[in-house]
Formats: sequence, structure tokens, C-alpha cells
Amino acid sequence: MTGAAVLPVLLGWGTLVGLDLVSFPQGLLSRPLVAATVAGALLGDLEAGLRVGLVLELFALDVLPIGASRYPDFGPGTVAATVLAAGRSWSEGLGPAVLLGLVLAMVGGRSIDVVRRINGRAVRQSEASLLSGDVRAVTRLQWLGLTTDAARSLGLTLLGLLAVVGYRLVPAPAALARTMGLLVVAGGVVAGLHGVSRRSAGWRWIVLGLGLGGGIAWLA
Amino acid sequence: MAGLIGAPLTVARCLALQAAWSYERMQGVGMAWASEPALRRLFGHDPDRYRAALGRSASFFNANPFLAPTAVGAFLRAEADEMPPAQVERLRTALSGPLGALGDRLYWTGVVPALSGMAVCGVALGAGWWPVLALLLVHNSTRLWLGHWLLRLGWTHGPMVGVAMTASPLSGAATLAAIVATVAGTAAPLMVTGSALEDGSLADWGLVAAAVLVAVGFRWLRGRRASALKFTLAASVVAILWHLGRA
Repeated sequence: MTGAAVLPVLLGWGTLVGLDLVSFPQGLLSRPLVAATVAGALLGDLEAGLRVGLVLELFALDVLPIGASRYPDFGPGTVAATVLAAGRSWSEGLGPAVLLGLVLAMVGGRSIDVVRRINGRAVRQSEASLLSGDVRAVTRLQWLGLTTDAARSLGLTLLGLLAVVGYRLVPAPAALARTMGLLVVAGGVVAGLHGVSRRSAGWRWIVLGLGLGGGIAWLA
Repeated sequence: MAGLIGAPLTVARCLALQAAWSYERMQGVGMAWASEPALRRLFGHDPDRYRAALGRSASFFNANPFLAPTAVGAFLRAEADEMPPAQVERLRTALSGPLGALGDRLYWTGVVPALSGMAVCGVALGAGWWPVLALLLVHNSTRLWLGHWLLRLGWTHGPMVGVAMTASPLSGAATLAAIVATVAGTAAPLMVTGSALEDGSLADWGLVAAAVLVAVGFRWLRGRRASALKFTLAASVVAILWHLGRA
């Protein structure tokens, strides 16, 4: 899929992965590895999607998306990051793409808070209807929440694609892009290991895994 | 004991449990949305009872969304057994905390990072998009099956569902932690050597230097609410400014 035909599909995919994080259906579509792989396939550059997804997935391992806490939304930003990386060499594309994904993930986290406040205002306005068991109020609130979150996700994807257009006009110099690549790969590894270590069985299992992974990588 | 009619629709609606999430009622509206078809079947002949039960179901509730069908089932059982409203409310409150804690440990620190870590390993080893497809299939099929099972568990045991949960294999979720840690540890070197650096364009001592910089800096900032994500962004801003200064 190329050119203008892919744009609405990418916007739709970004909206879907944004919805998936909290509202519906929480089917792991919003995981960076999934969001990026599909975006890469849509763009005809699966490798770009897989590699951007791998690095951002490690950052996502450091995130615990529970309850009322604030957490980044990686999905729509990952779609835009894959668009930025597609068709570029790795030393030029990986760093700027992942950085764009990280910035948009943080913006996305803030935007979730806005959606929750809009939902809260609607709930307060429907307080009497909810107490009386009005099924129409329940249905209306559900659809309002879904629609608002869909609009948030679409807006975030659009913002990301506009940033990609801007980057194409003013790309980073090769040396800077390469430095960014080093930083995001290192940051991803630190994020992934830190995220797992602070809430799991501890470093001895991680060290075991590091040895295992290192051994496999050496043999491969 | 009558069976729970329309369980698949209830499980399907549980997928949108958090659509109207708000700080006021958290998942309350979603609980009402999920319970509504079953309440209509239970009390369709008695509009007053149906509306009263639906009103109660929309009150404050918060638990892990993957385990929430347990609470939906228990709530429906309590309503079907004509439990006093105050007791129904207490049951919801009592289930909220344990289902949140157990579910977060099972899913957000267990199943999800384990599956995504395995997918990262598979992709980094060159398996293409198959590990991603496997991740989606395994997660979503087990989640739907588990949702159905938990709804039945809640419906069958009603107010005693907590005891049934404790006796179930789900309470052993802590054992997943070792698997997650090992998988994440395995994924890190595979990702670095097998994928991001495959063409050799980034593979030099610069990566080691960047990793040490990020790790040491992040370690230093840990007590100040820093995350690796924010630290990476900050380090990148410094790099951009440095490059601009040199240009």
C-alpha cells in the first residue's frame, strides 16, 4: 500500500491502537511491537516496523498501566514512528523514529487524563439517571467515552504524522541521528530491565536471562 | 440454581469495561454496561427491580479489567438471590481490591511482559512477524476463555467467590515473576545484537558508552521520579543541543 491510499488506513490503525490501551478491547494491539509491525506491513517496510517496535517495546516493559495512575500511550506514537523510519537506513532512521514515539507516548499519557476528565463531567451530569437505573444513560456514557477516546487517538496519530512531515523537511544530520540511535537502544535496554527488576523476582533471574540471551546471540 | 443466560454477550461487553472510565466511578459505568443484558434477562418481568439493580451496578468499582468478569458474575448472583442492597455494595467493595491486586500481578507484571518479551526474542532471532501474531492469538484467546470462566466462577459462588479464587490456580501468579525476569534478560542482548544493530551501523563502543551513560544517569536520578523514558529523552535533548552548538 503506497501514497495517499495508505494515509487513512494508518490513521485508522493509530485510532484503533489508541482505543485498545484502555477503552476497548485491551487486546495488546497497543503494544509497540504489534502497532509497529502492522504499520510497517501497511507501509511495505515490515523490517522498519519490527525494529522500531522492538526498541519501543522495551520502553513499554517499564510501564505499569493500572487504575488511576498516569502512564504513556505508546500506540499512536509508534505508528507515526514507523512511518518516520520506513525507507531509511538504520543509522539514520531508528533514533529519530523512536524518539518521536517516546515524545508522543508522553503526550498520549496526558491526553488520557483529559478523556477521563471529560468522562467524569458527563458522569456527574448523568448522576440522577444512573442512580435511577436508566439504561440509556449507561449506553450514552459508554459511547461518549469510546468516541472521545477514538478522537484522542486519531488526533495523536495525526499529530505524529505531521511531525513526520516536518522531519522530512528538516531531517537530523547523520551524526546526530546516529547518536540518537545509540541513546534509544541503550535507553530501551535500561528501561526494559529496570521495569522488570523493580516488580519481579529480582536480578538473579535477569542475569540468568542476560547470559542465556548473550549465549544465543553469540551462537547465532 | 438457574444458569447464567447470555454469558458470551456479558463477556464481550466486559471488553469495554473501561470505555467510560472516570475518576468519580472508575469502572462503575462499564460494570453496568456489562451487567445490563444479564440483568434484563433476570428481571425483565419486573422493571422496578431491573432499574434498581442496574443503578447499583453503575456505582464505584475498580479492579483489574481482565479479572473483572468475576465481580460481574458475583454481582449478578447476589442480585438474583435478592441479597440486600447494602450487602451487594459491600460485596463490590470487597472484591475490588483483591481482584485489582491479583489481576495486576497476573497480567501487567506477569502474562503481558512475559508474552511481549518472548515476542521480542522471536523477532530479534529473525522469525519475522510470526511471534507478533502468536502474541496476539495467545493473549486474546486465553483472555476470552478466562473471562468466560471467571464470569461462571463469580455466578456459581456469588459472595463466596473470594474463597473460590484463592483455591484456583490464579493465586499462584507470583511464579510468573521469575519467567518474566528471565525472558526480559534474554530479550535485551538479542534485541541489541540481532536486530537494531544488525547492519553494523550502530555496533561499536559508542553503544556501550551510551548504555553506561543512560544506566548511570538513570540510576542517579531514580530517587527523583525519573523513568528511563524521560531520561532517554533528556539525554537526546542534550545530544541535539551539543550537535547544534558544534554546527
